[in-house]
Amino acid sequence: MLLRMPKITLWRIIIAVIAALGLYYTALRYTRGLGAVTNLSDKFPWGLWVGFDVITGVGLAAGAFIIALTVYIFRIDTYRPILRPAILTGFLGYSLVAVGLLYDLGKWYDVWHPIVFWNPHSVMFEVAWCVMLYLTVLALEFSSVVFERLRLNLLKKLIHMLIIPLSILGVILSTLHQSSLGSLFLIVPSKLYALWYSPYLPLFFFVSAVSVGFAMVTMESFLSRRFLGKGIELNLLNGLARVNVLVMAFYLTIKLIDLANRGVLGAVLSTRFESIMFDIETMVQVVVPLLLLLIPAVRTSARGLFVTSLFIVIGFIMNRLDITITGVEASSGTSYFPAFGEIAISVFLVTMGFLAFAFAAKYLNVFVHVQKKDEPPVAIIHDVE
Amino acid sequence: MVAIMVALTIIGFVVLDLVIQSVKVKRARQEQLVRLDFSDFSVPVNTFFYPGHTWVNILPSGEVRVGLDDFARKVIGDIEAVEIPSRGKALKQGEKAFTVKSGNKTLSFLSPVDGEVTGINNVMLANPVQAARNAYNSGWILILKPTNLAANLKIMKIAEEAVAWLKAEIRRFREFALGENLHFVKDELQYEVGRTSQDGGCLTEGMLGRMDEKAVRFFEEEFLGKKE
Repeated sequence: MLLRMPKITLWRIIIAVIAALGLYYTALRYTRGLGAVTNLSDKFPWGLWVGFDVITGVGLAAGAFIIALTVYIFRIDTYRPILRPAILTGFLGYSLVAVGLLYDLGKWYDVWHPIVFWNPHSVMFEVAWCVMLYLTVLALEFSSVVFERLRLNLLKKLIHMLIIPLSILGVILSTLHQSSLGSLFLIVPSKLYALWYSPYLPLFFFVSAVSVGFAMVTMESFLSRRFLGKGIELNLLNGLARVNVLVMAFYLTIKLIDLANRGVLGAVLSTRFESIMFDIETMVQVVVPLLLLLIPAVRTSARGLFVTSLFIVIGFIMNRLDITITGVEASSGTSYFPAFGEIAISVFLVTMGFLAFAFAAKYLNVFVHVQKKDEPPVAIIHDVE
Repeated sequence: MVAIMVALTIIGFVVLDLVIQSVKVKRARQEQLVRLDFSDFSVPVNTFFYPGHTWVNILPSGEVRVGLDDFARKVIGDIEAVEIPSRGKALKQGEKAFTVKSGNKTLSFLSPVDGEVTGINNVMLANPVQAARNAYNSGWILILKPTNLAANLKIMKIAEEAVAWLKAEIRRFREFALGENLHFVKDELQYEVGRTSQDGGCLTEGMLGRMDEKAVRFFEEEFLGKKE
C-alpha cells in the first residue's frame, strides 16, 4: 500500500510548530514543575491556565446545554441539525478544561480528591462535581454518534431512551456551575476591582455564558464550512442571532443596573487601566454585537454573523480574563504576564481541541442532515451523457 | 494586558486565515472558476418543476412556495440581487415573476402559477448569494396564493418526470454552451454562442456570466421562456 505524504500547507506547518512547543513545555511542566514553565507565584496563583483554559473554556462550551435545552426540552426541532456539533464542542471544551486543570494543579495526581474527600462548603467543590458530572453527561450524549458510526444500534437506542433525563441533568449541571464559576469570586470583594466585583457575578456569568454559547455555535459552523465544507444552514444561525440580541440586551441592562445600584457607574469613565479594560470588554462583548445584530443585513449575512460572533467570543474571553487576572492584579501587589511556556501550552490545548473537532466532523456523522417535516426525499441525477 | 494579548492572538489567527483565503481565491480565479458538476443534481421528489426553471412547493396552508431551480442557479452562478414583486401583486402563469442579477447580467423568471403574492423571502433579499446556494430550501423567493392551481400544474413535471426533464435540459445546455450541437440555435446566433465556450470544453459554475449579451438573451428565451 502506498502512503501518500499529506499536503504541506501553512496551517499544517503552524499546527506542527504549536504541537512541538506544546509537547516540549508539557514535558518540562511534569518533570520540573510549575516554576519552570509559568510566571505564577504564591501572590498570584491563578494565571492564564485557570483564567483561559478553565474559566473561559467552560463558558465557551455553553452552546451544548443551550441547544440541548432547545431541542430536547423545548422540542424546537428546527435546531436539531445544530445539536451534534454543539454537544461535540461542549464535550471537547470540558475535556480541555479537565486537561487544563491537570496542568495547573500543583499536585495534579490528587485531582480525584473531591470525589472522595468532600467539602460541600466550598464553591470549588461544587464546580468540580458539576464539571465531572456534566462531562460524563456530554460523553453519554455524544456517545450515540460514536455508536451510530460503529453500528452498535442497541447501545444507540439505550442512549436515545435516556436522552431526556440526561439533557435535563445537563441543563441543571450547566446552570449550576456556569454561575458558580462567578461565585468563586464572591469571596474576594476587596481584591477584585469594583467594576467587576458584584454580588450578582453568578448571574452575570450564567447570562454571558448563554450569549457566548450561541456565538460559539455560529463560529463553529463557519469554521467547519471553511475547513471541512460542512456547516449549519444560515437561517438557523439567523434565528440564534435573534435570540442572542435579547440575551445580550438583558445582560447589558442588568450590568448597568448593578453598577448604578452599587454606586460605581462613574468608574466607567475613569482613566484607570482596569476601567479602560472594562469599557473595551463591554463594547466588544455586548455593545458592538448588539448594534450589529440590530441591522437585518448583518443578521442575514454569513459574514455579518461570523464577525458579530467573533466580537462576542473575544469580548467574553476578555471579560473572564479581566475578572481572573486584570481585576485582581492591583490588590495582589504584583503584576502578572504569562510565561512563554504557559502561552504555548494554552495554544496547544486549543489547537488539539480544533483538531479533535475536525477529526470527529470528518469521521463521524456530526453535521447530520435532518430531514424536516416539510422537506421531501431527493432523487439524485447522475450520469448525464 | 493578558486579556489584550489573548484577544490579539485570536484576531491574529483570524487575519492570517483571511489572508490565506484571499490568496486561494485569487489563485482559483486565475486558474479557472469552479467546475460545474452537471452529474450531481438533487431533485426534491415532491417539488413541481415549471419549464421556465422555477419550482413550486405546495404548503399545508394551500399557498405555494416558488423559487428558481438548482440548474438555473448553477448556470447563473452567484446571485447578487433579486427583484421581487410586492405583496398583493397578482401574477399569471408565464408572466414575469421576479428578476435575478449576477454580475452585469439580469435574467427574468416567469411565474409558474396564477396567484397573488403573499410572502417574500427576506433572507434571499438580504443575502442572495448564500441563500440561493440551497435552491430548494433557503433559496425560495415568493409565496403565492394560487388561483388556478389544478390547471397550472398540468404543464409542470414532478418526481421521475422532473428528473428526466432536468436531464434533458442539462444535455441541451451542454450543447448550447459548448457549441457541441447547435441544431436548436437560431442561425444568427450560432457564431456568438459557439464562441462562448472558453473553458476548454468544461461547463463551469456561473458560465452564463461569461457569455455575451446576445447569448444570455438567447438562454433566457430558450431555457427560461414559457414552453408548452
